[in-house]
Amino acid sequence: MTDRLRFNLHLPGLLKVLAEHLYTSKRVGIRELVQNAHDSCIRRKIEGNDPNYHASIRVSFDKDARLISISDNGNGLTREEIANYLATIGRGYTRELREQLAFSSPEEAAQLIGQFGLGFLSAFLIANEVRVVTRSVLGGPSLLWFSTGDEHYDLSETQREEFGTTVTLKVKPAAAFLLDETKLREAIRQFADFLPVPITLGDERKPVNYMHPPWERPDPATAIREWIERVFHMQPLAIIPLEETRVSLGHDSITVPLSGFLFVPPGSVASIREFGDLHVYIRRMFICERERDLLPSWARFVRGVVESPLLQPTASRESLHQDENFDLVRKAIEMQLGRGLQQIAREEPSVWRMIVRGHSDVIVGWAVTDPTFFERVEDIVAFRTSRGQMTLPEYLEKSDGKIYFVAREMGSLQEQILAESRDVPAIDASWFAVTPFLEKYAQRHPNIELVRLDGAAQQLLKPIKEEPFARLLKFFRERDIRVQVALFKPNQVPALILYPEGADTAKEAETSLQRGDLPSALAGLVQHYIERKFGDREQLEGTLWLNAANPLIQRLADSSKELLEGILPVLHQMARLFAGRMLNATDATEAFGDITSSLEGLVQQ
Amino acid sequence: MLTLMAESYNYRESDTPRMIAMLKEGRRLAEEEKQPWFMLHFDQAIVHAILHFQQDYREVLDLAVRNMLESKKPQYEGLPFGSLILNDMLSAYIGIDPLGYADAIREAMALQDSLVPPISNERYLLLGARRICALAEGDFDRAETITASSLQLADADPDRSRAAHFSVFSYNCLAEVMFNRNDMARFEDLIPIGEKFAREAEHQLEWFGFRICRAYLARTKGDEETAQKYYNEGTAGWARLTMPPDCSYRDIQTGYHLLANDVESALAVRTEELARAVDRGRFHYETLVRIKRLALLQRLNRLSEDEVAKTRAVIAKLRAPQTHLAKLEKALRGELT
Repeated sequence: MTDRLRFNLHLPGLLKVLAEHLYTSKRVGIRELVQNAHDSCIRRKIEGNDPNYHASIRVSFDKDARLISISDNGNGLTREEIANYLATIGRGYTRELREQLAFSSPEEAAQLIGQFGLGFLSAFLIANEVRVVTRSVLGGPSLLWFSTGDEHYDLSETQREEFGTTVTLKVKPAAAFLLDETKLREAIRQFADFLPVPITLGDERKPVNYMHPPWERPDPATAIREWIERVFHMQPLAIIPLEETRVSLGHDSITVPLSGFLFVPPGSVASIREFGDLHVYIRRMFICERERDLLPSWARFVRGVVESPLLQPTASRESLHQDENFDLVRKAIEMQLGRGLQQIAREEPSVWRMIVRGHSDVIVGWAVTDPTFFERVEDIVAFRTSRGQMTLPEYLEKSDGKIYFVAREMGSLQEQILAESRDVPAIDASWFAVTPFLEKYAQRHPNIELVRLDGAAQQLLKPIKEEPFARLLKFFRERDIRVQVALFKPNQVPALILYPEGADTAKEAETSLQRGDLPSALAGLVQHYIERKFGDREQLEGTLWLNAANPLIQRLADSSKELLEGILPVLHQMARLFAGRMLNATDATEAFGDITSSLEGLVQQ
Repeated sequence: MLTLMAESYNYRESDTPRMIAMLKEGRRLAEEEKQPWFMLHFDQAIVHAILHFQQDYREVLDLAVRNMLESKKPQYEGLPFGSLILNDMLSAYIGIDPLGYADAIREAMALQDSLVPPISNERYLLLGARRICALAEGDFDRAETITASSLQLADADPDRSRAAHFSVFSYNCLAEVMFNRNDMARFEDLIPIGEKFAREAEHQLEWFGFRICRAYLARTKGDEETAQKYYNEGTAGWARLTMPPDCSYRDIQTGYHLLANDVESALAVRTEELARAVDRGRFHYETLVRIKRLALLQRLNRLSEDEVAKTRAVIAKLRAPQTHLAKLEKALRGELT
């Protein structure tokens, strides 16, 4: 035989859990009470049949007495309704009314927000005493309900002239921040900006809330722009309105009700200030901000506001259920975003250019991992070059089908000058994603050649016969300086020193080994590193390249030994200093010393 | 900076370039904030990510040595992650040519042994490095003993999440050892334990790797339907990750096809493996993959001179190529199974 038994409820424990742990923020208490006031007004509108009725909500506070009051001129509550709804957890009149109206009057049903019959409990999130004074339009006496959050409440008759309800909270010390006018105003705006009932604060007459979503205003484009500036504190580069969309299910399709807008902020910084997030509203009530899963992962340069009755909030209404409806809304948003961006690229190229420039790092970063997105942006993304920002087609117009880039962050001036002198700008590829982007671009366009200049700038030098410059070369080689001669631009530069890639680290490693800075057990590995990298240690000193196109070098080729001895050391040290790398303080002092003594010698001559 | 460091780890398997990008961004931020310890911390994390998740060894030794030299400067005295930097340098050499640099690696590991606390990340990493060296030398007994030490360490570790994290790799190694010994009873026993740790530590790559192990096992038992189900789960899971599967799983994956005498599919696995290993600076690993692939081509009578020449060219980059050359000759004679 099986016994069928009933669960027991430990009401104080349940109250504590629901009131204190269901919500993550105390500000939510304000949202829930304002929403109850709103639903009460809507209910009076629906049930009252009074054409002269003007709904209103007033929020006031008394900092010294630690009181916050939310007062409405809505339907009010009867003794029976207090017992059935206010004092019954999990049962909400609003939900029942909405279900009744769902078929007969869906528009009115959609105006009601309450859903779970839990919201009133959030009063105990911010208050240790809650007092409700109410007078119902259905008649009966005005009532005073009082609770301190335990399993009992007091109910008595009282006096109230106006129909409606006033909830007064004795604020807990932990929620005292809400007694600040600015904080309270922010909370009302955040949660109830789009509610159609005017909400005033204190003695003010002007409503705190916007009352209509900006996309429902007579001039939505202007209203959205103003709203973005007020709420997000930024001026968008572009706005994409959201609307009802048909989404394919494969075998069928469905219309996804959707409103709101997406926008592109002026700029982003990869990983640090990325976007890709939405503010979510359901039935005009704010649910959450920074919802990231509703936008595709590559859209980190987009923000927005979305409202869809398909989205289902969790019981705390601070986040969303990720169910089939969520996926449908996500698809609808992705479709409209794709279409919107394509339209901007097609019809407003200057705006598209601003978008791509403002978000180039984020866009380049995502493009390297998303082939479809890559194709969409490959020709419009702009890169930093030695001549300012350029797209690759713009760059290639100037570079004969070759892309010169420098991936190293420091000491790339020589390489940039060499590239520039060939009338070609060099792309700054120090941002991690640029090199893979360029490689991908070159793969898709086989006629384009990539030229990495770090450690390989000699590609820009044109070797020539050594013979005419044999005396100069001999001078350096006798002093164990690796030297070569070549033609390169600009002609004004007489000599350069180029170091192979990785030379800086290897040189430092060698110095550390010589100084005995490393334990002997590690010395072996570091030694191997230098050998692997530079079998020929002399490479580490770099190669001095004399410029055969430079007038001074040409004249020196036939000059006296004395003059060579005076000038060539200066050129060598100038080239070392110009390279800007591989020099420690001693090297630099030595270089300046050599230059000074050579110049002194010349002055004496 | 700390958020970037922590969040980046979430992308280690699914989007390694993104992980590295976030670490580079953190490094940039640390530089802006003039925080040299944090800069080095990010530099270390970048090297770690390149070594273990991206597995691209072309330039990583430069970075590892640079970090090592930087960490020895006086301003970093007392640096808490100094031995991780040493471990990175060790891992770089082990990944490039573990046999060629064996003596220097051994010497550095002895130093590491004396430096790292008995229960620490670095201790696990050191044991892991020793295990990889043993496997590279084909010494399965030593690999098993080292793995046992690692599991003992995990048992004693009060940080259970760390213990689970490193235990996954221990079970991965044991699977490789048992597979090579054809000890199917122990192979079968350890798979669910490995899976449990992989699930606990959220290691997707290993989790899917253990599906491949299950597929192999099912095929040895003649349960073709289960074998194919697991195989599809494993390979589909890997396809969603950017991190390449460990070489041990590739051996088991190839073995799965060879059980059905499907040499073409086995060759396809090796070809895919090679595509992800080629020109990555992992000379030892690339050589082994090429040789195993040549063995399959030999079975199919499709050996080409070009393939053999490419293999010899990679072998030429190794410091101690004798073992690999002998293996190559064996493969060419059709004696490598």
